[in-house]
Amino acid sequence: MPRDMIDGLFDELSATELPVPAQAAVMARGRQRRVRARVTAAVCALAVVALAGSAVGYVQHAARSSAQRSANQGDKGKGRPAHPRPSATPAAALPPAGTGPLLLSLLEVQGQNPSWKLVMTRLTSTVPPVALPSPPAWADPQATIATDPAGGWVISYATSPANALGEAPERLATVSTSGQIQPFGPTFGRLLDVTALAVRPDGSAVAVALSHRNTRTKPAQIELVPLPGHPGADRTWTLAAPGWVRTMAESLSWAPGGTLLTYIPGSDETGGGFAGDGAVTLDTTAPDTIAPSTSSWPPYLKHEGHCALRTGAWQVSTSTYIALEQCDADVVVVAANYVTGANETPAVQLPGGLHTPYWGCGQPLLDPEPSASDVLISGCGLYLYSHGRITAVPGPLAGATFWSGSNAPGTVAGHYTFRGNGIGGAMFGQAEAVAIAELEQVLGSPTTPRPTGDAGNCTVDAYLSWPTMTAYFFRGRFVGYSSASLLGAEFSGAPHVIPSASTAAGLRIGDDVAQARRMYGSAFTVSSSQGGSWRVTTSTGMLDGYLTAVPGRPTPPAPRVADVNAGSVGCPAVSP
Amino acid sequence: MPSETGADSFGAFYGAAAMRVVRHSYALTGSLADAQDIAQEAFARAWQRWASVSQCDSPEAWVRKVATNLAVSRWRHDRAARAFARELAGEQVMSEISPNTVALVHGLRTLPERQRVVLVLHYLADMPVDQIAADLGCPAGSVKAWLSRGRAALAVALAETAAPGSNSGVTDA
Repeated sequence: MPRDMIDGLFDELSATELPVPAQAAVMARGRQRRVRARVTAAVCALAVVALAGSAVGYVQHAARSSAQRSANQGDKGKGRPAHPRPSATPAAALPPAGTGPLLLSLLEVQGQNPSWKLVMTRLTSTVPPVALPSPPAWADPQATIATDPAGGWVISYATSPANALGEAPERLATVSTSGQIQPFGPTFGRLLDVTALAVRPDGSAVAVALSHRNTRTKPAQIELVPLPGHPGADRTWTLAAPGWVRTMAESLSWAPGGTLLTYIPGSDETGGGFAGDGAVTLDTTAPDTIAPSTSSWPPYLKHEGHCALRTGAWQVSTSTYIALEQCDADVVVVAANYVTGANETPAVQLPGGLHTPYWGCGQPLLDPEPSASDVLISGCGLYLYSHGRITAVPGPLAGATFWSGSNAPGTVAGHYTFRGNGIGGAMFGQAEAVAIAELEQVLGSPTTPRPTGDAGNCTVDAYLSWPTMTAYFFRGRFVGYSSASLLGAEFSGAPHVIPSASTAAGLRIGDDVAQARRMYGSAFTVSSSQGGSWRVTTSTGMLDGYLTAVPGRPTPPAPRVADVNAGSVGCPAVSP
Repeated sequence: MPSETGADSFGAFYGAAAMRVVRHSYALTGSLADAQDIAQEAFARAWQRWASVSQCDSPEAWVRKVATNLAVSRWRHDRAARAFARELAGEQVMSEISPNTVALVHGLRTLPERQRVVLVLHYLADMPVDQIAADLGCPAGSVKAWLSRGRAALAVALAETAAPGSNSGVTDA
């Protein structure tokens, strides 16, 4: 076709009369946006949210100070190095004060560009959300969030400013509850968008959905990237099969067990499930590199009257797939069969439905709390689904919002998960102050205000105790921990409260060897040395400890796990 | 809140620029409903901060940039849901659009995003290569390459659309 014909077609379009929105509607929308900005900014009235079930009593005092203040806090990041670096010390304001569950959220910043800011807050917060201090302002708009069940969150962020087409290379990072940001994994190309993240229930790896920009034909990819401190190589699957290509994947979610990964395939133009595809499940243990395409979920747009899947996520604590569906004008939440889409529980209606989606308010997302039946619903507003009721959460949050992994079983209110590489957000190798701040998040206040020197104890030169455990430090770094023991006796300052924590596989202090073997198989080994001891190598490193009796002896009692240690805990005991 | 005088000047600006911004958005998205939505959002953002936007060298360029950002943003994905919401609200987008324009917009939709954006900025906004490069923050050489490849790809797409038995326009207009 000659060039002047193309010129002519554009000339014809330039002269085409198209319907223009009424000016009054535009100005009303501008006023609406201004009101929304004021809700974020202004002093708000106290709002009491009576939430059902475990959420009863959550009280939300709406934000007291301005979003401007939050925005200003976020501006601190401007002019910093291109890559967010792990901070040397914890951010003073993080985690936000209070006792409610921690949340990480994307707060919309209204301006010329569609823009978001990563903020941390609590469900029960009485103060405005606090912007994460480390990422430069331009890193945030590309952010995608996922709860890390082992503690904190995993995010994607832009490693350099996006151009006018919104293109920017992206990378992954862990975010701890004290605001520490630790980049890891590959840097994805400028023409790849991270569209969803999901961290494996054991916290060992993150699944990343990637969509190609600037093309309508390249299939989306799902990559599996190990988290820091976890072994394993990246794996990649593509969403393409003969006669089937999907250019994006949404709603990544791990099924309980951590091998099946459910996602909703879709097109870059229209998004996922709503346009026809249902939930699809990938077996990550299979050798295939092609992600499956088959879904028996009823395709809404082709069958009038059915409910359309907007988003879904696995609730690990109940082993159910929670789906958010659009049923004509109603938006409902159900526990659904992830293969057929059939409802397994009665649908619960979202009061008032989701707000009419507008450009920039984000797609709806579900984030089931790992340890409970509560589910956060975000998308042009924030809601809590708890024990069969849905309640709007007042406040400025409307974008993607995720629980902190520190709310996971064994990690809240003095509980935590025994890992081979740390506890909660505290990882071996972290600076002492950083690790202590993280440990305080899950253990509360230590029994002494600062670490006690322990010169001459081999690879440990200081320790700090809590009622349930002792943390060990060497040359200013967190190097190990040991729990209170069934064999121990209480003396001043020593751990004496047996924690109800477990390992990721479920092993608790007090479990017998048979129970441990059911969880770990032959990887769980016992020894008669030192009056009975045990050891297991997990994906996060080695865990060991004492037994309450020597194994293999015919006399009762049967030996049980007396305590749990990891990392470096001082000089080896003298063998008997 | 902008003053009454501000409302007057915004009204005059809107009257002059709205149609061009809707056309621009239509060419970028291929959907008239989305184009109206984007234009409304872009002008609403301008009205929100009219005191400063009205002082720009070209408020229309400011609004056009917002519209472009929205059209290529990651939130374009939820358009099926937005279309559904509009349908539920009983909103209808009616327009008489010539088959040539429908074919052109359909052809643009088949192009990679970069090529589509530079073609629309060049032909509809009448922007020279250097200005597009400055606006997009990329080298002029890249813009020239995208324009050239975009024109070639568009010619192929238009030829296919015109071919007997092929489907023409797929817009929701």
